[in-house]
Amino acid sequence: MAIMISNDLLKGSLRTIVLKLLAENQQLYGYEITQKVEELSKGSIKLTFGALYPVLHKLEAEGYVQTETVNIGKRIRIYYKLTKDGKSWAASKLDEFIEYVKVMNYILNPYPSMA
Amino acid sequence: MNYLTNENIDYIYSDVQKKGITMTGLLNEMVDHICCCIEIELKKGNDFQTAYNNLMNTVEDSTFKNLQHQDLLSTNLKFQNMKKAMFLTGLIGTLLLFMGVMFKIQHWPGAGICMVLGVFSIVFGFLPMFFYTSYVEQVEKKNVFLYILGYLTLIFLLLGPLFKIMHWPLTDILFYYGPLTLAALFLPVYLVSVFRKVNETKTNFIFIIVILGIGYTSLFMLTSGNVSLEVIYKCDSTYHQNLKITGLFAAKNDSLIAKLQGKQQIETVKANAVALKNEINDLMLKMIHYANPDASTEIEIKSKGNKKACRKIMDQDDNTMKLNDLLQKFRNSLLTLAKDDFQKQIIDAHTDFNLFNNISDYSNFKNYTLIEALATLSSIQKNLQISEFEILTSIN
Repeated sequence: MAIMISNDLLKGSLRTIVLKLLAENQQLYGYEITQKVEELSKGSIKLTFGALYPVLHKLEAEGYVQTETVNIGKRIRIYYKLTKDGKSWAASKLDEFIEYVKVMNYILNPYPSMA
Repeated sequence: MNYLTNENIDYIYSDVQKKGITMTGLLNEMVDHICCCIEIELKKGNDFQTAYNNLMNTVEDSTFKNLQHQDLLSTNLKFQNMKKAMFLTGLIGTLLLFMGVMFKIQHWPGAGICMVLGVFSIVFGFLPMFFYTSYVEQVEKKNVFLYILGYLTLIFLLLGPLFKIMHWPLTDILFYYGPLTLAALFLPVYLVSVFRKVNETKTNFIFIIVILGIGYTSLFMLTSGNVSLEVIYKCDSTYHQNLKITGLFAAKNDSLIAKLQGKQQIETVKANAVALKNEINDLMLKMIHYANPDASTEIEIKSKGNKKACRKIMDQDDNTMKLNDLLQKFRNSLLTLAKDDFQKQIIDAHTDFNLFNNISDYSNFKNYTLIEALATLSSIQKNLQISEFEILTSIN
């Protein structure tokens, strides 16, 4: 069974995950994002809505994503997609994050041959 | 294929609302999210109520409230801007205040305006925003009273020393009584709320640091409360000019009195005038001596700014009462000799010393520096000579 990633660790990288998913998909709604994350992380990351929605709404307030409201019967679904600004910003953010992961790797695993 | 009935959806709406989501947009989104989660379970054959309860069991009740709160903070640009403005005014205010204090210590010009601007931007910019934002940021609201009291206490702590240094009125209330009363109210309320919620240390820390910081700054301001060199020079020249004019009139008055020798009215005026002049001379000499124990002839700049001399001497041996009595006696004896209303007005204007009748003016006077006190006392003396001259010439 995969190790669960704690919410504390996730906090800083949640934005990046959301950006990455939105960059790869035309548009997504909240639940879809949690499902995709769970699927891609093979169950290691279970996003709670308490963590996800503030991130999405902040991205919206900052103008990086835009929303579209769709009525499904009595339910109202909100789709998110990257704006023009968001796309270029996402690209640079993702590069930065990949760099960060590399650095973390060096730090945590300085002698790969011995690992 | 629709697994959820409209009733189910209505049920979820009302339950989520009850749990603390009140913003429409967020509510819609939450309900859709929960519906999606439940549909999976329904597909597996579970009934709605069990699926819903199972899901809600994995979520703490406070999550919903927290979520809405977080959401409000992170999307509210006004709030974010307010925080930026808060840091900016705090920084500018502190820098100005610090600069003002430094200037004051160095007796450079511009110290007053720097301190006033610094304190005002802290009191009316930084602090209200600081208390407002730290109040809003808390999910579970603490006592509003605590925030208001904290704010008021700090206002007094900052404005008190400022008013004192600037010699503005109301210093007594702001400087002595205000902070004491508020601190007496604030501390119990604060301590109770701290002990109730020991685990909420984060905001408490900020609270303590801010209060300590500002407390220390005001103490620093207080100790650096020197009068600027400008004031000292101004008072010094007034003092010397007063002495000169007093000397001129004193010589003239003495010769007038010598001419009028023997008249009963003149004798009382003379006696009162001598007693009063001696008393004032005595006070001035004592103050100078107190600030210059070495008794050098010229008063040094440093001792001109002495803040204790005036208070010390005025508080000694009922000096204030004595001076006040003598002033009244002298004034009355002159007024009885006045020949018309115009002369009465002149005497009145010259010998009306609010300084010693009015409590708040007097407590202000006691805080004067040596040279300020000397300037004031010598101008009283000058006025006495002038009014005496007025009466004596008219009798002659």
